[in-house]
Amino acid sequence: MSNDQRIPIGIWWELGRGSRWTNEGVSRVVGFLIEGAAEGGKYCFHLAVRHGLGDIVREDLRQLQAVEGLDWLVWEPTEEEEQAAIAAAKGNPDSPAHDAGPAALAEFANATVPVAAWIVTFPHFLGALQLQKPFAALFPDALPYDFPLGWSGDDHWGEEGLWPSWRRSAAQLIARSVSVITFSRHVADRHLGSLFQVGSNRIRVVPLAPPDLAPLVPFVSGRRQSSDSRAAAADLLRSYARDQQIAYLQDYPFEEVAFVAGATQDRPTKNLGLSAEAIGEIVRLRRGSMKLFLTARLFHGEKWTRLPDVVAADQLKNDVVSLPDLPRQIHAALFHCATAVVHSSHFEGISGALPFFEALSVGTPTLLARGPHVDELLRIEPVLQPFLFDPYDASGLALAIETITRHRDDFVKQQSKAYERLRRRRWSEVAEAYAAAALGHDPQ
Amino acid sequence: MSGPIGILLPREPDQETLRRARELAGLVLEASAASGTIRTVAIGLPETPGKSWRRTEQQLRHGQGGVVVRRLQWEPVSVSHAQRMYPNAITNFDLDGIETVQVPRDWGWNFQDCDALIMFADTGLGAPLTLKPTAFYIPDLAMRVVPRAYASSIDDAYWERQTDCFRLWRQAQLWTSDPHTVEDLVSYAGVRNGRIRLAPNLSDADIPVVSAAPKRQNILAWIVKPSALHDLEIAAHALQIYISEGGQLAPVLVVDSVNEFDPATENSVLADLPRHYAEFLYSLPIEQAQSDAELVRFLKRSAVAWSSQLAGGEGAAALLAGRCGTPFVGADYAINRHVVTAAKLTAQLYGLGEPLAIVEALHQIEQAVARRPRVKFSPLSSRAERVRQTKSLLDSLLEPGREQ
Repeated sequence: MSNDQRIPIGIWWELGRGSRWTNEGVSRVVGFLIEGAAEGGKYCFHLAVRHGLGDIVREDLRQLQAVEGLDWLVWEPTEEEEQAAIAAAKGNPDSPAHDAGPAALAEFANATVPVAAWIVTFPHFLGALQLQKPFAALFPDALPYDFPLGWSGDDHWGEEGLWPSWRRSAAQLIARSVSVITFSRHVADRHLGSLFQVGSNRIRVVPLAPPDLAPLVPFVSGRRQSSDSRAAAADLLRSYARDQQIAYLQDYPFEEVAFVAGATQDRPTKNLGLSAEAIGEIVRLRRGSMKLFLTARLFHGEKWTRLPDVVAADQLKNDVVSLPDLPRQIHAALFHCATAVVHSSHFEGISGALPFFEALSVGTPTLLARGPHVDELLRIEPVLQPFLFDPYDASGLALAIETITRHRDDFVKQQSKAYERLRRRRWSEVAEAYAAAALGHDPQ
Repeated sequence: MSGPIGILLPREPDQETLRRARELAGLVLEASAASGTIRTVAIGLPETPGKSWRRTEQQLRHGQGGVVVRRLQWEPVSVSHAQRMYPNAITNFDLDGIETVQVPRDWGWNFQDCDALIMFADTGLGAPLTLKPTAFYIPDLAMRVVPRAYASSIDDAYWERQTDCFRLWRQAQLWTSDPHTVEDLVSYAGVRNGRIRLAPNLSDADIPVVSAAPKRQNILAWIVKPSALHDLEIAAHALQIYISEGGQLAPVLVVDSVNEFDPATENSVLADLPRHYAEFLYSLPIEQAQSDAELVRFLKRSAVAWSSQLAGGEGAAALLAGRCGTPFVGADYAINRHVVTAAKLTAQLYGLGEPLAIVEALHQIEQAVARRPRVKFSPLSSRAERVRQTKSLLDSLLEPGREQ
């Protein structure tokens, strides 16, 4: 099917220059949606981004199993177009007073981006209110209302603080959207229903399809680790470390070392401090050999998360290693080379956790902390019960890591059966559901 | 599986508090099992300077599957912010006149994943906003009798925090093992009778087993804290007289941390003592007992255990001495009398406020010990009764309309 025959669906991303794109949860979902479009052959996703972000987004999306121009396009106003639109938007009383950029992007999008409907990627993106086509609001979660203590002061909780303002903006956008998409039933129930009183008839629970990193590491056969595939993955990691001038890792024998990987940003709910404590217990108390590689950046000295304190207080410098902003292929190589992936997060907006699926796609087992996201996954796959741990129990996690190290192959076999069942859900189905939500079609 | 029951400890938990927490955790687990409910217990343990959090965590968990310990930090939050953070849950609370609440933080769900919370009293904390069905466990209201153990003066900020604390108590359930504390809760804290329930005495707990019993020595184990609650000036004066009169028991200060009686450590209670008594206290040998196991080992090789505490405490020191087979000396007030009688302890209680009463008691217990009495001990209640009582309390907390 040519681009002309594809149904064009817009994806709205109104964050400006300097904002984070790579490895953000929602941007990864956008990537998977695009691969779903490629798989299904029915839709083309048009991303509207602000000036300055286009190159970063295109570079990331070009790594996907999708064709630019057929499955996806990135629309970015020129600086002149953006400035002209900002000037025009400032005269519009409906534009947000503090930042005319989103409204300017809407003006550009209305004039230039040929879509039938939009998916607005965050519920507080008020620039979308200026869009002329209908839109569905993607609602990842209302996490600060379950975990408010990670943010403090008037900046966050004052009358005009970040979260009350976010709540007001989200309420505004949700009211205008044709539907609201969540990744999970538990977010629909906990947040949309309770905080925003959205009726069930407007909610679309669209679980993600399990991501598959296997195409990024073609040297992995049958989703299983071998000594050769591990060595190949290790070569990629060393090459990356050399490019990035990470002295400790550029000649590091990844394939000869037992290590676990954690792939999430360091945020209050992600509980990376517990993962680090478990490593500390294995190395210092149990006198084992284990490392933790994190894709999170380590914010030394910060107190809103426990991770920096744990690493500093216990001087875990070379056993807890930060490898932030990994390109997709290097991320896949890290996961394949790892003994296991550990996901200690208290909460995720999806059913399960992306690292769980990603790890199994390249033959690595996962340990998951309990939480509503895992409870929802267990309802579909109760066989995963033995692979869970209490998110407050560092000793329990340490023991589980030691167990999985001794019985890695068994764990992979058991978890892979669940993964293969879950994998029957395709990204083309997810893309179809998102597009239908945006177009205001009734859910099937 | 049901949600955990949270047990929140005060900001600076001492060995007695940790003992209570372990006992309560065990009772909750047994009571839940008796109900056919699978539960875990989440103990919130603050980080205390100079103490190993991980070590205390292991002590709390030792031998108790189903117990997980979480780091606990109390976050002061303005009421206006809290109303935005918890728009639904907070409407159940009357916070009128309170400016700041204290919210428990555990770097995760902040105990909001618990079905209910049991919080050990900490009146100097302020208004604890727990947002879940909560019972406050109150061993005593000793500050009514010995206020200088809690506040330096009538103008101390402590009093405002205490009032805020009482305001939240008045909206929750209160548990206490001491019938005399019930009167204080009504009269002093302003809590209605209907909210107060009698609980098992958590200090009446099994002690760690000592496999090789140490030989008893002529030690007077003075279980003491650097607090006005332990009447240090009177006690030190009495001890000096006892020694000068030829008393043979050798006093040893038994403390949670040696820093507590270190002259280099700032402590206003010790600094306010007449220099003569302070120097006397600093001259005494110190035994640091960083766990119940260490404390029990020391008491088992002591001739006598002494607590100079003036009020409250649930009779904890007397009960511990009894379980260690060690005769006890302590102040004569209601809960101590009750515990000594009910547990059939070998003990001498002395009148309050008079050093010579302490001197007499020490001489008498020394003579009694010389006769090598068979030291008896009888638990205040059976394990089955304690579990039954805990189950009833939990039922009332979790389903307020259903009480047994």
